[in-house]
Amino acid sequence: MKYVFLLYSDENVWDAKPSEEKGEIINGYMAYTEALTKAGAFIAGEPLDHTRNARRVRSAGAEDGPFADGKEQLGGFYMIEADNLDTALDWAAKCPAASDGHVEVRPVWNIGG
Amino acid sequence: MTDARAKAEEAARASYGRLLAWLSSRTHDVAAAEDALADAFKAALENWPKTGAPASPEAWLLTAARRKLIDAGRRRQTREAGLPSLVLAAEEAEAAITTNTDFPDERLKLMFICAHPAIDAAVRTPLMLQTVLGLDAARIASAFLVSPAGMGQRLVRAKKKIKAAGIPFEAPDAANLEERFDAVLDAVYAAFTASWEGDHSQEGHPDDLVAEAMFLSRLLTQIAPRFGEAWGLLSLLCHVNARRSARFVEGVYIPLSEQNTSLWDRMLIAEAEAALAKAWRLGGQGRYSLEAAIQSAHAAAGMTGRDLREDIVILYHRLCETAPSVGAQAARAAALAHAGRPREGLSILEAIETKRSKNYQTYWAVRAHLLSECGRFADAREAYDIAIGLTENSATRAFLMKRRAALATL
Amino acid sequence: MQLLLLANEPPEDFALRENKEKFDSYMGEWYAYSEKMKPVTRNSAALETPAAATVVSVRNGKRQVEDGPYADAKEQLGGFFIIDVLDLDAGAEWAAQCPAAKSGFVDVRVIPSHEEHAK
Repeated sequence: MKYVFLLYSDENVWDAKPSEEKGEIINGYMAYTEALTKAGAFIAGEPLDHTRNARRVRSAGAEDGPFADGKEQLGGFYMIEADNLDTALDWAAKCPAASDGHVEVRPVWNIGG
Repeated sequence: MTDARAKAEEAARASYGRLLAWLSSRTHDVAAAEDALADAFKAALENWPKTGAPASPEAWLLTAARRKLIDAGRRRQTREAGLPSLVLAAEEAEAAITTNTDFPDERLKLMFICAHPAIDAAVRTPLMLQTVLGLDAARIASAFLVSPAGMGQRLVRAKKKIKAAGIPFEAPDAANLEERFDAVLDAVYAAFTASWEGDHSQEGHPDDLVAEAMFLSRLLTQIAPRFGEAWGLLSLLCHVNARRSARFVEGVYIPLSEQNTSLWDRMLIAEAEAALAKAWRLGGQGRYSLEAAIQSAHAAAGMTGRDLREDIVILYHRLCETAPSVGAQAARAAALAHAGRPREGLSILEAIETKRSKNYQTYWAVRAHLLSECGRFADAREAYDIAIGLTENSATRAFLMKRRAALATL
Repeated sequence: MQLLLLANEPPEDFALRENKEKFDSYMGEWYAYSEKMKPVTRNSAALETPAAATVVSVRNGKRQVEDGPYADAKEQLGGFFIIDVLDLDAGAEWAAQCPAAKSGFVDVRVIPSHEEHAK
């Protein structure tokens, strides 16, 4: 099965971090991506820019960020291949975002089988 | 007719969970397996009175369910990926029947799924009652004091999640096994406490799930006999259940120390003791084994008149270390008071954070009792007021009001 | 630039996925939209309903697992597209045509280029 991980964390906390610390965190993500790739589980994954550079679009028109959502914002995602939810949860728990935020695990919808 | 019906109902009780677990483990679709099985039971009720009950009701039911699965698969094949697995399951069922081999008992896997961490904790017990025992949503809802429609929706949603999220029909790996098994035990225990905590003062209350919880607990010791805590839980349930007839007399709640011990069920106490011995042999030092040991000490004290109050204090101390909770601390405080050390008990209560104790009925009931033991009657009256205000069960409320009234004369 | 279009749908839309009569028209709109956007699309996926979501976090080395999506919101992510377009305005135009923009909303998020991200 394919699973998407939605990585939620506080982007303002990230912004306030000194650059060395950011570098370390990015290294953590690179190691994680590497581990997924070596295991043959990695399909895709991207970080996202701050929500201040984002837009929310409804048919009524576009609104600028920042989004009035919760304390944590979507900061990136992964798509992985896993046999079942237990394997997917094992991977999700290893994602750096699980330790300073939350990882939402969503199965990809296999339309029409 | 009645004989066939009785036979079908008997087969249902005995095999429902086994058949459902087996079918769902093959199809990964609990809802589809339930539908097929429901149709099979319906067909049994229609056919058996005419043809007589078959020699092997399970095999008959499985064959009927298999046909229903294939029909359902055909109807849904346009949009769902489920058909191949449904057909495969049906073929396997066929093979199991024709070769006359026993199909494996997959109920433990099913119970692991029901208590999976990704399943809403509030629906784990209802899901287990429905899938392993075949209880309907209305019956479960009435035991949990919620609306049948709401319970039905939560169950449907949970079954969809099992399928859509890919929760595996496998026993957890070694790293997670113990924690996941604890969740299974907790779900069974929750079925039992749902019966005690509601207003079930009358004997034979229709919402009672005690028999179901006992069945699940005994089942766990059969299908997971190497887990000490499974035996610990069974021992605990047997001990508590053994005092059932003594706990309420004409609707009036009788505390343990005042119960007529001749009303205790000796058979259940024997079962409890045997289970506890097994738990200890398996190294059971977990929460349920300790709670069972405490109940065992109460039973021994009640029946022999031996003074085991200090032993009980020690066991509660270990329980608070193993599985700390406000409930365990409150019970430990009560045990200390019972052993003639109410001041020590009070200091334990006072160490509990206010936010965790302020709306907890047991805490206030114990506190009131301890305060009165310490001679602080005005404070005790206040604590009784809070405890009474937080009580749902009318028999317990009456008991607390009696205690409070007795204080007024001091 | 690469953008991530996040299609957030209300519960009524998710319900259409299980509605035998309305399934085809619901999916038809999505197929038409994906088809139209094909030239700029790099990747896309539809997600199972939020009821199939699970949230994982790790605190003090201990894993916490919870049922349900992370955000306590009416609209939930139903699918996404990664597109390559000139600028954010172009992305917003694509977003406005998305079926989810009518019933819910579409978030347009910037995927930083690797050089930018390294900074």
